[in-house]
Amino acid sequence: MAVTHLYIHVPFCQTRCHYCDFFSTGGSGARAQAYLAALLHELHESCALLGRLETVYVGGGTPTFAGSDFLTGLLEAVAPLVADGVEVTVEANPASLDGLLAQALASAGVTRISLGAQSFDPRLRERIGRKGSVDGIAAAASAVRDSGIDGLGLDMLFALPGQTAEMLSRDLERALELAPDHISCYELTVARDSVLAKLEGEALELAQARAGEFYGLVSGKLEAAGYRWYETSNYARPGSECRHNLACWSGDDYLGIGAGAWSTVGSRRWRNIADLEGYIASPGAGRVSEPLDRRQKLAEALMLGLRKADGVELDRVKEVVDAGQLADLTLNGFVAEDGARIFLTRAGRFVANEVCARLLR
Amino acid sequence: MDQSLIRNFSIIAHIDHGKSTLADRMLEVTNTVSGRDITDQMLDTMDLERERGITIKAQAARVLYQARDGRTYILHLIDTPGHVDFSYEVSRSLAACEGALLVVDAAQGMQAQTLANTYLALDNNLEIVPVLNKIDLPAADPERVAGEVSDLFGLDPNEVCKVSAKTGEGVVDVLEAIVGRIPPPSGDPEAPPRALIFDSIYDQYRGVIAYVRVVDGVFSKGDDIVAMALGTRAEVEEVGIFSPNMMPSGSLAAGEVGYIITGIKTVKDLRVGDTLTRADRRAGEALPGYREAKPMVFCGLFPIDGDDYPALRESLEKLQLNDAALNFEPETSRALGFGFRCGFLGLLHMDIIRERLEREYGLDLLATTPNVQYEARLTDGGVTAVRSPADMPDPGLIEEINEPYVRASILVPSDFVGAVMEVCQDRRGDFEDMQYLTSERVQLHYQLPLAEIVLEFFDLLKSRTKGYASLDYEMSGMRVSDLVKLDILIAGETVDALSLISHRDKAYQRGKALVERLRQEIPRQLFEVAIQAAIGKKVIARETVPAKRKDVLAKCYGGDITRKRKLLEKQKAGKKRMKQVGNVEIPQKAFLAVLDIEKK
Repeated sequence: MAVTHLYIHVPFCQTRCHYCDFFSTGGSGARAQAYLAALLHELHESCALLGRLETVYVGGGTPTFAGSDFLTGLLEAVAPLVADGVEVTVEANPASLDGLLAQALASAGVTRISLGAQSFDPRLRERIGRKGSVDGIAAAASAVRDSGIDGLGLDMLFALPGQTAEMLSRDLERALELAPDHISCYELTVARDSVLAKLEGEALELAQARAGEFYGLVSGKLEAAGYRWYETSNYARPGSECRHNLACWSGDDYLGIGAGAWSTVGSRRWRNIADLEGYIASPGAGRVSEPLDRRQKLAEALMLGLRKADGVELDRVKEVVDAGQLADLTLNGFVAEDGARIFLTRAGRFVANEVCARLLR
Repeated sequence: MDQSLIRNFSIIAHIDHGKSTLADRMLEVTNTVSGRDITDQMLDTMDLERERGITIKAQAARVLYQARDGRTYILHLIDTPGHVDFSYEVSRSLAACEGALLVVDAAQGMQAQTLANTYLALDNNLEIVPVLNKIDLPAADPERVAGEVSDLFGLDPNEVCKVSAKTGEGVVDVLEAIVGRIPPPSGDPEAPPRALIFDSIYDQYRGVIAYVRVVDGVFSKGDDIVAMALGTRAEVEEVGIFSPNMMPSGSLAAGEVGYIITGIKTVKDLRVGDTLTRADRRAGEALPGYREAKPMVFCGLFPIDGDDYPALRESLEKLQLNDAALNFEPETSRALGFGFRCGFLGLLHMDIIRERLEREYGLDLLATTPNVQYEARLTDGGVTAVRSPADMPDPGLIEEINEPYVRASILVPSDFVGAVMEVCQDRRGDFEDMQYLTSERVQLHYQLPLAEIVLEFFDLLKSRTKGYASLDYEMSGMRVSDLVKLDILIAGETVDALSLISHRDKAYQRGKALVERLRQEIPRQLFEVAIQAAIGKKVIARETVPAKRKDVLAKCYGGDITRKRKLLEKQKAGKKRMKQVGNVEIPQKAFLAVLDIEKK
C-alpha cells in the first residue's frame, strides 16, 4: 500500500541545547543548498513508495534556521504530492521565525507551525542552554497568527533543573495566554552523556523525583483550559490534533527523508545515514534497516496505541495481550474498555510503561 | 597375594593443607602416573571438587612402591571427603585402612576438622603418620607445629615427616614411613569373604561401581554376592583395581582395595558402610559400623521457570543414583509453584547439589531458607516431624517442640576465645568446656542448636576470628525449645516460601530485619505494597513499598519506537523471572533476603 505520511528531517541548529541528543549540526548557506539538493534527490527516488500524501511534517533540528529559500524550495517540491487541505507542519524556533518567513511558509502551503517555546522562565532556559529571548516566543506566535496559518502549536518542557511547581504553573499560564491550538508538553529527558547531565546532575534528580506531581499538574491545567489530553505528552483543542503524529502512533506507514531520518514501511524500519556530508554525497547510502516481524508489529501497536487517549482496538492486538492481566488491570482501574477499544485511564497514564509491560504477553 | 606387602592408608587433612597435591606427588614418584598425564589434583575428578579444593566423593589409587628394603609394596591410598557434612563417609574410608597420614600445614597448624578426624582414626585403631606440609613456605614453622602435633597425640616429634608436596621434598620419606610404620592387613584369606563398601558411584553405562576394601577371603568375577545390611543380591560383572584408573583384575583378595561392578542401577542398593559377602559362602557377621544416611538439612528447590519442573525431577533422580544421602519429595508452594523438599547431609552438601543442578543440568533454581528437622509433640499425644515451616502444626495443638542439637568443637588461637564465646552465645549455645591444647591453641565445646549452625554460623565464626577458627560437630540429640513460625505477608497474603521457624526470643528481631530487607528488594509497583512479619495473627513488623508515581516515556517518535519496544521486551523478560504473589511481583533476590539477614 502506498505511503501517505512524509517526514522530512532538517538537521540544522544554531547551537545544540544542553539536553539534546537529536541528530543536528551547524549549517551555512552553501551546505544548506547542497542538503536541499540531496533531499530532493531522495524524494525523487522514493516517489514510487508514495501515494497522495495525507500529512507532511518538517522537523529537526531547527528547520526555520535553514532559511526561507530552503524551506520554500523544499515545500515546492513536495507540493505536487499534496492535495488541498492536507496537514503540513513545520517545526520552528521562535528566534528564527519572523513575519516574513511566516508569510512565505503560509504561501508555500504550511498549515501548522510547531513552535519550540520550551519554557518562559529565563533562568530555567539558561540552565538548559536554550538560546533566544522569552519575548521572542510571543512575537513568533503573533507572526504565525498574522500569516494566516491556522494551526499554532507550542512545544513545552517540564521537570527542568531548578523548576518548582509554581514555576511550572506560571510557564503553563504564559503558554495559554498565547492561545495555541496545540500544546506538546514533554518531561525533560536528558541523554546520559549530554552536557546537561554533567552540569545539573543533582538538580535533575530532584526534578525527576517530582515528575509525577508535575505531570499531574500539566494535564490538570491544560485539560481545565479546554485542551484534550490526546496522547501521553500532547494536548489539543478538539480537531487540532497533529494528524501526522497520530498516524505514527496508530502504526501507519511513514517515509522519512533526510539525514538520520527513520522510516517504517510494512515489515521494515530503516534509518538514513546520520551524517550530513555522507548524506549529501549519497542520500541512499549507509541506511541501517531492521525487519519487523508480526509479533513486534503487534507489540508496537499495543505500546503506541496505549499512548493515545483513544487507545487501540483490542481485536488488533489480542494476540499479544495477556488476558488475565488485562482483566486485572481493568479491575484495578489502570485500563478501561470502551466497546472494541482498550485505553489507559488517567491513573494508568502515569504508569504506562509498567502497565504495558504487564499487558504484553 | 602376600598381605604383608600391602599397606592401606588414607589421608586426613584440612582444606588447602595439601592433601591432593601430596597424593599427586606420590603417584608421580612411584611412576603410577607419568608426569605427562598429571593434572593437578588427579583424584578430585569433579570440576566442583577442583574448584572448591575439596573432595566430595572418596577416591582410591593403587601404588607400587619399591622400598629401601628392596621389596615392592602395594600401597592403597584412599582419599576421603574433607568436610563435616560427610563425616560418616570419612569414618567408613578410615575403617577400610590400617593407617592414616595426618597432613598439617606447617604454617597453620591443626584445625578442628583434622583433629576430629584424627580422633576418629585413633578410634578405628589406625596408625597415625604425621606429615607437615608446605615446609618451603616462608611462614612455615615446622618445629612449633611438629611439637603441637606430637603433644596432641603423644607421638615422638622425630617421627613427624616434613615435606613440601609442591617441590617433592620429603615425599619418599613419607612412603618409607607408610611401609615401615603402618601395619599390614590382618584378615583371613581363607574365611568366607567380606568386603567393606567405602564408597559407591553410579556410572550411566556400567551401573553402580562399589569401592571396596576386602577384609577376608576372595571376590572373583562371576560370584553371586549379597550386601548384608540391605540384602541386595547381584552377580559380580567385573572386579578390578585403581591404578589409578579402573583396571580389571579378575579377583580381589583379603587386604586389597579395588572395585566391584554389578548390574545394580542405583547407589541406594549398595550403600556406603554395607558389607559384601558371597551368597554361597556367606560370612556369619557383617563388618561393624553401618548406618543409614540421614539428611540433616532441608530446603525447598523450585524451578524459576515452572516448565522446568519435570526436568528438575529427572535431574534429582539422576543425582540420587549417585548420592544415597540425597532425598526429595514433591512440595507445592503458593508463591513458588511446584518444586521439591530436599534433604541433605549439611549445607555444603546442599550447595553442591544445587550447584550441580544448575551447572550440569542447566536449571535455574530458587532455594528456600534451609531448615533442620524439628519434632512437634502434640496435645493429643501424637508426634509429627517438621521439615519445613509449612509442616508446623497450629500453636494450639502443640505440647512442645524439640530441636536437634549438636556438640560443636571449635579450635581457635587463645586470643579469639572471647569472640568465639560471643558468637556461640548469640547463637543460643550452651558452653560445655574449654581446654588448652597448647599454650596458644584452645578447644571449646558448645552445645548448639543445629538450626543455628546451618545458617552462616561458620562464616560468622571465621570472620570474627580473622579466619583462624575451625569447626567440627556431631549430633547430640533433641532438646525442648520455644520455637515459633514467623510468617511474611506481602499485600496481605502469606508468602509461604518466606516463612521460617525461629526461636521466640529472636523472632522479633529477625522479622524486623526481614521486612526491612524485603522493602529494599521489592521494586515499586502499580500499588502500594505492605510487607508484614507475623507470628500467628499478631503482626510484629511492617514496612511499605510506595506505589510507582510516574513511569512513562515522554517522547516516542521515529527511532524511539524500536528502542522503546526493545526496552519493553526486556522489562517483560525481567518480569518473567519474578515471582507473582497476588498482584505483587517479587524478584528472586528477595527470596534470598532471609539468608542475608542471618549474616549480620
